[in-house]
Amino acid sequence: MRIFKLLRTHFLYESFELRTRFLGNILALLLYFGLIIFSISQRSYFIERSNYDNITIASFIYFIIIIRMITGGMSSPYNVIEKEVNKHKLYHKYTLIRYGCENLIFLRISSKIIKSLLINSITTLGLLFSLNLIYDISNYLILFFPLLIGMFSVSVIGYLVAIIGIVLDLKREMVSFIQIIIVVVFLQVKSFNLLFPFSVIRSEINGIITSDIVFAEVYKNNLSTVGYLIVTFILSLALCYGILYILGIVLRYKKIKGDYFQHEIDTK
Amino acid sequence: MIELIDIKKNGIIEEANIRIPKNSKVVLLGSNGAGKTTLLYLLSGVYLPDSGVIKMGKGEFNFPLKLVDYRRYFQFLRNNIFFIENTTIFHEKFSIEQNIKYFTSMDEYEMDKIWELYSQFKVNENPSKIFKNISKGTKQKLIAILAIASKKQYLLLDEPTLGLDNESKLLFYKTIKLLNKTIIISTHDIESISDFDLVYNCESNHLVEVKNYENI
Repeated sequence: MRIFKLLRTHFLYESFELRTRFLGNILALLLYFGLIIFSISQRSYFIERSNYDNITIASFIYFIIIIRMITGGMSSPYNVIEKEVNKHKLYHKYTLIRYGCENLIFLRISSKIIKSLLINSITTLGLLFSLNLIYDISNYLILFFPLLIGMFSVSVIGYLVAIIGIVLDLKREMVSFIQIIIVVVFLQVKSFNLLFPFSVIRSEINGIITSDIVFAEVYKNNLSTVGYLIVTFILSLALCYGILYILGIVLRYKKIKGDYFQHEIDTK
Repeated sequence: MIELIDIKKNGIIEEANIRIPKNSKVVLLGSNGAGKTTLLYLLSGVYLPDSGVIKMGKGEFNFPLKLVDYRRYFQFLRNNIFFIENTTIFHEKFSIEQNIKYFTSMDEYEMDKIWELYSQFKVNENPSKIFKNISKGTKQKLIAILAIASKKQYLLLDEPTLGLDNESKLLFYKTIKLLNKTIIISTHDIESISDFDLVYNCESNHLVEVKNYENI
């Protein structure tokens, strides 16, 4: 019951937010889908594609997906937490939110990640359709799951960066710099390192794209990898929530002299 | 009942000791920077005391809290306390109606009472008006409305009458006096203190109970 009420509150907020920039949002959506439909309608046919072409295209698509996944997963927590804590002063409204600030922020970040994932998936599918590269659409339905798990597992690092940025009052530029360094580190990690879930997810995504574009076959999932990914997903969610909970405690123990006088200035 | 025993917060509050009986109406007075808002922050869980004990209703919490007590403490606050700091809590881009709908979806309010108070406080604005375009007094009236309509047992309000016209101020004090709740407000509004059961003055980071109003 509680989760439904929380979801209702969140959707209410989302719908009000959407309405505040209604025209801009509708124009952006129309432009986005218009571009995708236009690209698909103009799709080109590579009749003679060598293996070299296929590998190059697969690497390109893989790289786009990975970059979008890391940046989306990494930036969403900081963007949401910074907005809610500093701009909306969510922790000052703590007693007005019966379902808990942590739950509300967690839901907002998750929703942002899922929205980002949907946009990424639609863009990638649009690109593949327009280049006529899809062998079997089921491969891309399978791709959705490692992408989802990948974004949530990357977001754990995003949450950590956010908590450091908020607690130490770092400037946005500094936080972005830290995020870029972490993105580079993520890209450097070797494939299929079981101690580093992101590398397994990366290998899985690479496997799916290569199967479809290079080998023209349906990707077969390895059961142990699926299990590993599910455990990663659950652990990522638990870690993210834990980090948010700790953030709440740290913010409440923070020295308040500065904030206090700021408040007095605000109310004058 | 609310009881604070030796509550301290990094030099702003020094050993606050107060005892507020159930359903009392309490006012906190004091100059800017004396610690009124900090005390409300500490009672509402926006910040946690460095040391001391807070007893509220059946709950007793020793600070610094043990790790296992955080959840219990935060849950207690969420279920029992209503704290509004100032008008910045609202979303400026939402309309009045959207803000009310959003806030009431997050907590329990007497919904019929909200729109009844809306007309009683003579909020002469169309509910679809965007929040950033309304006056400070009207925003303050909305805070008063939400506070009165809240179903929580403890209401903590920081300068709730700031910017209100005299008629609304009187209505606000008259209405909260009738509520069967423990209410703590901070204010600079000395004329209204006779409406309250207890008066505390924040002076050089200490809380002193005022028994004779003429001293102020």
